[in-house]
Amino acid sequence: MRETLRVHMGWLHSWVGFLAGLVLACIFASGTLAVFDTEITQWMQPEAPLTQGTALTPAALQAATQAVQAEENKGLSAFITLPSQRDPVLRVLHYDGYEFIGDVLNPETGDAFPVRETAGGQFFYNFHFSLRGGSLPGVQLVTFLGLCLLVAIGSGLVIHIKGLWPDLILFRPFGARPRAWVDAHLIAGVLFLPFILFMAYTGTAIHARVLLPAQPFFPAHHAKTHKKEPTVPKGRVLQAGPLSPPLTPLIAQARDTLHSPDGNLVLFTTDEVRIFKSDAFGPFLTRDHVDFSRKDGHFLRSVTQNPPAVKTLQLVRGLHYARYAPPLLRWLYFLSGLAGTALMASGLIVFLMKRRRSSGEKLLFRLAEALTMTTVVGFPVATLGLFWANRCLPAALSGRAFIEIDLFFALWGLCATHALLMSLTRHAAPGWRQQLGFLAGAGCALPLLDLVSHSHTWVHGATVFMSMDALAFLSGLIALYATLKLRGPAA
Amino acid sequence: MIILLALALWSAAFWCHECLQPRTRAAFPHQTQSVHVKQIVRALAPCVALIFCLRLDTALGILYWLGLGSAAGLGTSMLMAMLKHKRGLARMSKPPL
Amino acid sequence: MMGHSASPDVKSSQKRQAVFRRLGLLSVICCLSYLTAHLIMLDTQHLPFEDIRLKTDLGGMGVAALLPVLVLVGFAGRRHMWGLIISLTACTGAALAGILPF
Repeated sequence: MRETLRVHMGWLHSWVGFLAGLVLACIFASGTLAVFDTEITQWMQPEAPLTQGTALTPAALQAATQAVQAEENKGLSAFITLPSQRDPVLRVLHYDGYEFIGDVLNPETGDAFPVRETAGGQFFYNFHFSLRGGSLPGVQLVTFLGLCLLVAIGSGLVIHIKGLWPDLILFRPFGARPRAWVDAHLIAGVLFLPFILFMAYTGTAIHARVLLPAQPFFPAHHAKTHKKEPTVPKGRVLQAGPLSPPLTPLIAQARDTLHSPDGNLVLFTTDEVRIFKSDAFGPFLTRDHVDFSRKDGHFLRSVTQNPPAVKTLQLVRGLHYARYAPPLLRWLYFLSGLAGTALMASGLIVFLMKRRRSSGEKLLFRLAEALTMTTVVGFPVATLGLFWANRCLPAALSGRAFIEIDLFFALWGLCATHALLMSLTRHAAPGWRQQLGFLAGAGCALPLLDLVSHSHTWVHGATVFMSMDALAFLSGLIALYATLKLRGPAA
Repeated sequence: MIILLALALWSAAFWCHECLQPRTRAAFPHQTQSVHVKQIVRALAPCVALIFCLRLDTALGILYWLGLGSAAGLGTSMLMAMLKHKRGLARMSKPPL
Repeated sequence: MMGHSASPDVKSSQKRQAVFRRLGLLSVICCLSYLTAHLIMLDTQHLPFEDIRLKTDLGGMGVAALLPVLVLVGFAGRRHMWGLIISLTACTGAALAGILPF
C-alpha cells in the first residue's frame, strides 16, 4: 500500500481516536449531562419544591447563616447559593472532596426541606473533568485526552477534507451497515465540528497547567527551596468565624455594585463575607465579588477584573461551562454534546468493523470489542442505574450519596465483566444484545418508577421531571431499536 | 419565532446544497434556472439566519446560529435519507468499506 | 512497486515495519512537542502580569492550541523530514525565547 498522507494520517486518526475515544466518549457523555446538572439534582431531590417567584426573606437568610456556622463548627467550609430562576431554593453547600452537597432551605421561611442525600448532577460534572480521580491523575488524564481529541479531530479533517464539502449532509442509514456507521461518524463530526472543536480546545486550555506545569523540570541549584506551609484541605476550615451580620442589606449592596439581579454565591472566611456575581448573566465567567466584614458587615472592597487577558480567560471558561446559557441554548449545548458522544461511539464501532475480518478476531480484537461495549452501552446503563438507585434506595439512608455512586461504578464494573466474558468467549454479538436489552428496559421503565415512587408532586417543576423521564425513555427506545436491529441479518 | 425562522433558513440552505450535488441531481432532476436559485439560497440563507440570530441576541447570536445550523443539518440529512430510501435510491452510493 | 508480486509474509513484514516507523516518528514528535509546550509555559512567566495564575492560564491557552498542531504537522511532514525540522525549529525557538532578553 502506498504511504500517502491520507493513509498516514488515517493510521494516526484510527489509533489515537480509538484508544482515547474509549474514555473520551464517557467524558463527553458526562459533560453533556452536566449541562443540566442543576436540573438533574432537582430530579434527584424531588422533596424540594421548585416553586418559582418565592421572595427571599431575611429570616431565611438568617437560618442559612446559622446553617453555615453549624457546618464550620464541624470543620467544613460552607457557602450559600441564593435562589435563582433556574434553581429557586436556598442552598447551603460544602465540598465533600468530589461534589458540592448540603442542605436545601425554603427561601421564604428558612426551614430545611427533608431532601434525600444525593450527589445529583454534580456527580456528572465531577466525572466529566476528573473522572472522579482528583487533580492528579484525574484532571491530568482528562486534559491529556483532550489533547488527543484535538489531534484526532485534526487528522480526521485531513483524511476527510476532499469529501467535506460535497458530503456535508450525506447520510445513508439504509445502506450497508459499515457505510451507515461511517456516515453517522462523519455527519456528527462535520455538522457539529465547531462545537466539538471548541469544547475540546476550551476544556484542554482550562486545565492545561495541570499537564504542563510552569516550573522547570530541572530547577537551578541556587533556587531557594521554599518550606511548604501547612495548608487547609479543600473544603475544610481550621476555625469557625463569628455569626455573620444580617445578609439582606449586604446582598442588596453587592447586587447593585455587581449588576447581578439574582442567584449570587455567598462565601465566608473567618473575617469576611464575600458575595460573588452570578454566572447566569453573560458568557464571561467572572469571579467578581464584593467583600464585607464578618463582624459588623461594613463594606471592605469590591473586586472586579476587566483587563483583556482576564476577559479572554473568563470567556473561554464561560463558554465551556455554559452556566449563562438560556434554556434554548442549553438544549443546543445538550444536543451538540450528544452528537459529540455519538461521534466517538460511532468511531469506536467503525474501528472494530474495519478490523473484524482482517484481525481474525484474535485476543486483542476481542478485548477491544469488550472495552467498546463497556463504553458504548455500559456507561449509559450505569447512568440509568444511578437514577434507579436514587428512587429505589430509602430516602433517609445515611451515606446515601456515596452508596448511589458506588452502585454506579458497581454496575459499570458488572457491564465490563459481562462484556469481557462474552467477548473473550467469542459471544460478542449476544453480549451486545443483552446489554442493549438491559439498557432498553432500564430506560423505558424509569418514568414508570418515577411515577410509582410518589416522590414528588407534578404541580411545581413538572418540566424538569417530565424532561428527565422523557429523555430516559427515549434512550431506552433507541437501545430497543438497536437490539432489534442486531437481531436481524447484517445489511 | 425567530429561532424557527433561522432553523428553516439553515434547513433550506442544506437542502439546496444536497440537491446541487451530482449524486442527488440524478435522483431529483431540475432545470438550469433552478440550479442558480439553489446556489443563491445556499449562499444567502445562512447569512440571513445569522442576521436574525444576532438581532435576537447580539452577544449569543453566533452560538445560536452555529447550534441551529448543526441541528438543521442533522434534520435535513435524515429527511434526505428517508426521501432517497422511499425512492429506492438509498443504495446508489459509494461501495462500503 | 512490488505490491503485486510480494508474498503475504513479505507484505505483513513491510506493514509491521511501516507501523514501527510511524510509532517511532510519533514518539519523537510527541516528545519534541511536549518539550516545546513546556518551554512556552515557562516563557509565559515573563509576561507583564502580576498574577502568576493568569500567566499560567494564558500559557495554557496557547499551549492547548499549539501542541496538537505541532504533533499533526510533525507527523504529517514525512517527505525530507520537514515535519521533524519544523518541530525542532519550534522547540529551538521556544528555548531561545526563554534565554534571550526580549
